[in-house]
Amino acid sequence: MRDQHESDTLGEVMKFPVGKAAIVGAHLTEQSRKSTRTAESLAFEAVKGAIEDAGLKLTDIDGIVTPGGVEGAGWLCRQLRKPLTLVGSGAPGAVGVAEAAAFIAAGLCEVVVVVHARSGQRIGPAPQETRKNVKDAAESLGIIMAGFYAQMAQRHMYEFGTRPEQLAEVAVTFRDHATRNPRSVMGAKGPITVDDVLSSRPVSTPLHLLDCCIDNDGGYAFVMTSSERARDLKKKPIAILGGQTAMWSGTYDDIKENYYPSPARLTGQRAMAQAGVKHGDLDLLGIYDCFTITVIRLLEDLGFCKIGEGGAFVQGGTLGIGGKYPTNLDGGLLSHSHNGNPAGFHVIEIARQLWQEVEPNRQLKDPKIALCHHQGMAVLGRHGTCILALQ
Amino acid sequence: MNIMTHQIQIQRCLECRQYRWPVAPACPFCFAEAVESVASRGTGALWTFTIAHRAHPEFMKDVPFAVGIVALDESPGTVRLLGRIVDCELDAVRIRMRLELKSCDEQNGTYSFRPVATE
Repeated sequence: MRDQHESDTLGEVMKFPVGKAAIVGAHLTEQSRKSTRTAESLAFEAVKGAIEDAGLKLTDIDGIVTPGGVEGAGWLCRQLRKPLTLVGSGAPGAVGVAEAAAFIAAGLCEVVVVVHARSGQRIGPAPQETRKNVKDAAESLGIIMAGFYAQMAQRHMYEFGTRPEQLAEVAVTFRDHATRNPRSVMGAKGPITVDDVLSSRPVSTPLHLLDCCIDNDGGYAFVMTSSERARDLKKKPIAILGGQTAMWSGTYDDIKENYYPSPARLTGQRAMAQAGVKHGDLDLLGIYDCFTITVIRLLEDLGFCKIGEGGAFVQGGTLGIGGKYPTNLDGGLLSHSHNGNPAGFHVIEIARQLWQEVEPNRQLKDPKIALCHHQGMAVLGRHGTCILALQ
Repeated sequence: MNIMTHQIQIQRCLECRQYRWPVAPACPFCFAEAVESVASRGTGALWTFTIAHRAHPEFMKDVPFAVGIVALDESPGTVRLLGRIVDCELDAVRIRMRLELKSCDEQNGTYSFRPVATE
């Protein structure tokens, strides 16, 4: 409801195991429009690469975060000939980071791999997967995911005066990042302007083609373990100082709820309170960016600006390299890669920035602490926010 | 065979009298289970919309088409339905425009609304 826009959803701050778990290794496979490899092959490369990056052995793995529950995780158990603990809700981004940190701190497992890969399948407008996710009325109406975010954008423009060129600014900024990332799917196409976005074909008004994420093949994995064990490994551990997950709905038409109460808002407030950090302390961000409007809405929910001010907030390079809140420095889902379950990309770019191992022209100078947000399922579906800090 | 009707049934809590949508086993406001089914007048205002230029493959023959969320007059804050906006020029679709139910396929949960001629 509208009157809840500015209401405090914090409540009592849960006792997150602050600093008890850490990210210790990561690996990205090739991200491409058309992979010649199977999803399993990409996933295995990602797991093996992340484990080697951490200085661990494959047999050290005892927990897994991956989409698809038991069916989704079985391949790695068979591959390693080892029973594994299935961690949390299987969301391989900040949600999984928070859940894995809790599992590790509680002693259910010690070395958790977070992994996802895809080859061949597509989200949309190809039929199967979208039709499975977008339920009921939506399915019968034939609109694709962009149609729901488009309606969210239309309402935001109506209610707050947000302009299409402000949405476009998000795509322009993340494309700039992608041009500095040789692994990105879109970087080689070069930079884009606000006019390029506005003149790209309409997908679902007010969203244009370049307001939408890409849809491609690729895999990634990262490894988490306890802070004690992390101390003896190859890289500087990235500690999880705060982590919170929350969900609201599994149906896409729940934008009609007037955006509130927002699960994103709750996760951001709690994660930052657990970590004891404020917005100004953050050196970089990972913000889920399936569409340009998503970023604007999430920055509002996460408290970087007031509700309704997200459009103005992203103008002037705020999210760019050298901006106040450098965000999605790999190019994001809009220009780096979207492999169907892409929230882990945001975690990995933050980790690699903190380790200072990305290409020099997009490497931030000495970053120490970051916020990573994860959205899943529907417009108001699953959310997770973590605070990640270099130890 | 889907049954087309021209009426939407909405639930109303017998305790706190709030309307709700979609169908739920209890009132989301007071959690009472006692409920009545009320025939909506089917009129309302457009809350948001999009003109779809891309759609599921079997709907591509229809593009561009308008889809929106309609806040029904009985309870604009809690009863909002997703539906097609029809019988209207696409560039005339506006948030807050007055609409009425044109058709309703309750089995598939598909509704279409058209501009109100006169009220």
